[in-house]
This record gives sequence, C-alpha cells and structure tokens, in this order.
Amino acid sequence: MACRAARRAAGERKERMRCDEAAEFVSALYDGETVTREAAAHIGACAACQARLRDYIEMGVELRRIASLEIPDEIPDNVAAQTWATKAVRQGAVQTWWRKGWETMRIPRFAFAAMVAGILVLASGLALTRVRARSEGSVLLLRLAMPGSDQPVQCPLSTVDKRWQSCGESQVKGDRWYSFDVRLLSSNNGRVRLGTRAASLPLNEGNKLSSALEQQTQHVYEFSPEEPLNVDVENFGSIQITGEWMDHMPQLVGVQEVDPGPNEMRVVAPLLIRDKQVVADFQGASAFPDKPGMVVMLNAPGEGKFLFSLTRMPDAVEGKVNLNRITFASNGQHYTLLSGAPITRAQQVWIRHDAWLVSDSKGNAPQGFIMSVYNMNNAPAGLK
Amino acid sequence: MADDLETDLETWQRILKRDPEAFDGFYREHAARLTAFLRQVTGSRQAAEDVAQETFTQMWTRPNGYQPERGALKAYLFGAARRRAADWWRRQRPTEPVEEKTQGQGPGAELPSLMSNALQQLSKDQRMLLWLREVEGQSYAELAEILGVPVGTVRSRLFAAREALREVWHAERPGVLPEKGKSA
Repeated sequence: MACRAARRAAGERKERMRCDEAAEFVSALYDGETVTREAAAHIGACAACQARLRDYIEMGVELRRIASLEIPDEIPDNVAAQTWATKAVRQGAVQTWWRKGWETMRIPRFAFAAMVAGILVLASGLALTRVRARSEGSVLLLRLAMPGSDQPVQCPLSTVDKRWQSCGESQVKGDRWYSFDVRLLSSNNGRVRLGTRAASLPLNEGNKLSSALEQQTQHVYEFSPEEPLNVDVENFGSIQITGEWMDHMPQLVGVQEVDPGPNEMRVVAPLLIRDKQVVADFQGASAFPDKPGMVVMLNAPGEGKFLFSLTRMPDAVEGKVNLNRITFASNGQHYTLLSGAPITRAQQVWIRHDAWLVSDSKGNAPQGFIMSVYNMNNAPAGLK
Repeated sequence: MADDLETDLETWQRILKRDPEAFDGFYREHAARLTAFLRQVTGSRQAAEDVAQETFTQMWTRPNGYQPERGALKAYLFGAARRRAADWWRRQRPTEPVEEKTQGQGPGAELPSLMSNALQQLSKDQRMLLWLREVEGQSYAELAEILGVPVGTVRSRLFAAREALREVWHAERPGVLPEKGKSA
C-alpha cells in the first residue's frame, strides 16, 4: 500500500520501481552516494524505504557507540613494547643493558623491543632447541609438581589454539595407576579458570585410564601464575600448580640443552618404524627419563610393548644409537625409533620387546598409544 | 582529502627513512582503532592484539608496500591487517579461541547490547565490512582497495551486510518489526 501511494503521488511520470529494487539505492544514499532519478523519486515518496533509511542511520549510530566503548581514548604507553620488554627482562642477564638502551634508543620502542627479544633468544642457548615462535596467542606454561617427584611436569596451554588446551600426567604408585589432567577453560586479564580431573585404577587396567578420567567430575579453579595452586588427589597426594605466561608455544618443553645429560634419554614425539614403514606415531608425546634405572615404555597396539633402557635388561636386545634414532632388530624384523631430538649420549640402548599388549579384562586391545616413564627398580611385576 | 593524502605521503616518506618519531606517531594514531577492528574480525582480544602487532611490525620492517596513488595510508594499514587476520583464521580453523570473559567498564570492556549481539550473528566478512564503513569511515574506493574487489561489489556487499544486520537487530528488539515495502 505504501508503494502504491508512492506511485500515485509521483505525479509527473509513472513510478515503476519496486521497494526491493530501491533497497540497495537506500544503502547507497545512506553512504552519501547519489542515485538514479527513478530511485530518488521512489525513495522520496515511499514510507517503507524511508523506514529502511532510518534503520540504517540508527544502526550506524549504535555501531559507532559500541565502537567508542571498545576503542580507548588513548593507548597505554607502548603496551606492546612493555609486554615484550617485560619478557626480555625476565631473561635476566642483559637487564642492565636493556634499561640503559631503553632510555637512549632512537627507533620506535616496540620495534626495538622486538629486535632485542629476537637477539636475546638467539643469544641464549635455549633458542636453537626451544623456540620457534608461533603467533597463536598467549600461552600459559604450567608446572605440575607431582607427589614424590622432584621433576615437575610442564604443561603449555594456549588461550587460542584448542589443540593445546589440556594436558595430563599418569604415574604408578604402589599397585595403582594415578592419572591427572588439567584443562584451560577460560582466560581473563591474566587470570584463568582451570578444570582438573583425577582418576585411579588398578595396575592391570591402565588401558582404561583415559576413559576413566573422562568420567570424573571436573573441579574448577581460578588460577593466576602469581599464586600457586594446590590440588589434592585422593590417595595420591597434593599436586602443586605454578605457571608463567609466554608469548609462544614452546616446541620442546622441559628441554634446556640440545645435548642430553648423563643418564638421560630423550624421546620426543617419536615415530616407530618397522621395515621402513611407520607403525606408530606418538605425536605430541615425549619422555625424559634422567635417572639410572628409568626406562621409556612404548605401547604400540599391533606391535607390542617396548622398553628402552640405558642399562642392560633381561631378554633385551642391543640397539644402536645415531643421534636421534635407535635401530634394533626384534623377532626377525628391523625397527627404528625416530625421535624429534638427540636421544642419549650413549651409543647403545637396550630394548625389550614383548608381543604382550596392555589389554583390558575382556582381552580388548587398548585404544590409541601410550608412553610412560617409570623406574625399573620400583616397577610392579606386571610392568617389568 | 588532498591534504590528507599529502600528510600520508609525508608520514610515509619519513617512515621510509626510518624516522622513529614518525612511526611512533603513526602507531599511536592507529593502533587502538586497528585493534578494535581486528577484535571484530578475529573474535579474540588476544588474537587482535597479536595481529595488530604483526601488522605494525610488517609496516616497519617492510615499508615499501604502500603506494600513495592507490589510497590513504590508513586504508593500506587496514588492508594489511585484514590479510593478516585472514592468515590467522586459516591457521585457526577448525579450532575456536578460548572463551574470553570481560567484565566491568573501561577501555576494552565489552558491554552487552542488542547491537553487539546482532553483530556477532553476522559472518566475519560482514562484520568487518560494516566496521570499516560505519566506524572507520572508509570510502567505497578505500574499501575496494582493502578488500581487493570492484567498487560496485563493495556497494552490493554493504547493502547485503546492512540488511543482514537489520534483520537480526530487529529480531533482537521485542515488539519492533521492520517495515517492509510491497511491490506494485
């Protein structure tokens, strides 16, 4: 009816434009553009088109209003530079030089901070093994101090990349498995909400740990790196969680030097290769036994259980070490364990290969792959 | 307009000569608005800050990309940021950023509003286009440069984005219905 009225009121010549045809011209008019004479005549006489124009005006005003709330009146003094400066200062060694340079530099501060951060990274021994910056956003590096362990578990959590928002640890204590995981739920101005779960199962049910964990109630905690968090796990003990913010996802967590230490093995995201075919990919999983008697266990469904030790074990074969790979033969087949980093200073390791798989009470093979580190001297009979 | 272009050219020439004060001023003038724009595009405050930093770093380390005859310096900056945000999106999918909660008033705080909610229901491309036009005041020509499309396409996409927002916005407002015209 509004458009029929517009046609009657047009007068001089018959108006044939419909509102749906005129709509895009309304948008152009709002943007300050001129439009065709036909569109202008229609819009001038059409209540519906004028209502559309008023809506655009109101929408535009409201958009600018909420934008005004978003955009600060003035930016903090080189926020980006401050952030990068803080991280550089944490390096410690060049603190004095940094502060002096800050006062006298002649290039933009944040650019300078970026260059210095790069120089610090390259100069420190950590860079070659540890840092390949990825810009997924803030990373919270948690350290989980497990009961009875002097080596905290490091757990990087990304606020942006969902692939890196949870981690966990499983350990044997007595005749039971204990599994603990922590998940990043949300972040807000340096404080985060963490969800934790814990599960415990008899030793022979280790393959059910993952599903048992998923069924547990998640406990939620507010966490800030400045305040250690203690989480009590029934019959296991207290796990202390500390952390720090990083500007990148570390590529090698817990590794300080490229060269392994004495008595240390490093197995980083390994591939198990049999006769030139990859039969197991432990993507993202790593193990760093560093005490005499500690071993690495790989449980590869379809292949069996492998124990890697720097000391000779009963029924073990000798494997040759070449930087980041171990080659050995078992049951007439040739295997290679390919690691993402140099494995050990030793030239040989000992490998025990069992066709036995960790299966459940019904004899079903486990889902997925597992890696664990434990001390052979204290390992329960079923795991030796 | 001519004065603005002249100012842009002068600023850029100083930046090309590695003038820190010129770049600092350029950063201060645009950083906050650029970050707010990227917040709309990425949906993440942290990602917005990261992409903004990357964009400015790129501008400093590789300043030769700007061509004054093609448009304003601000349009070039926002175009570069948009491309970086697109790269960020490609790296993110199918993941989603961690939910960010903001509370209270003050710079950076996000107040719930019908328009905010309605805006979030649009595609990121539509949000980006409306923000560049309504908030940043980019012209059709500048938008065409930023998006790499003809001016006519800018016009039709703006119309489509406005209609999408209008429909959602009206749906969010109880008791208010959009007045629709009829055909002949």
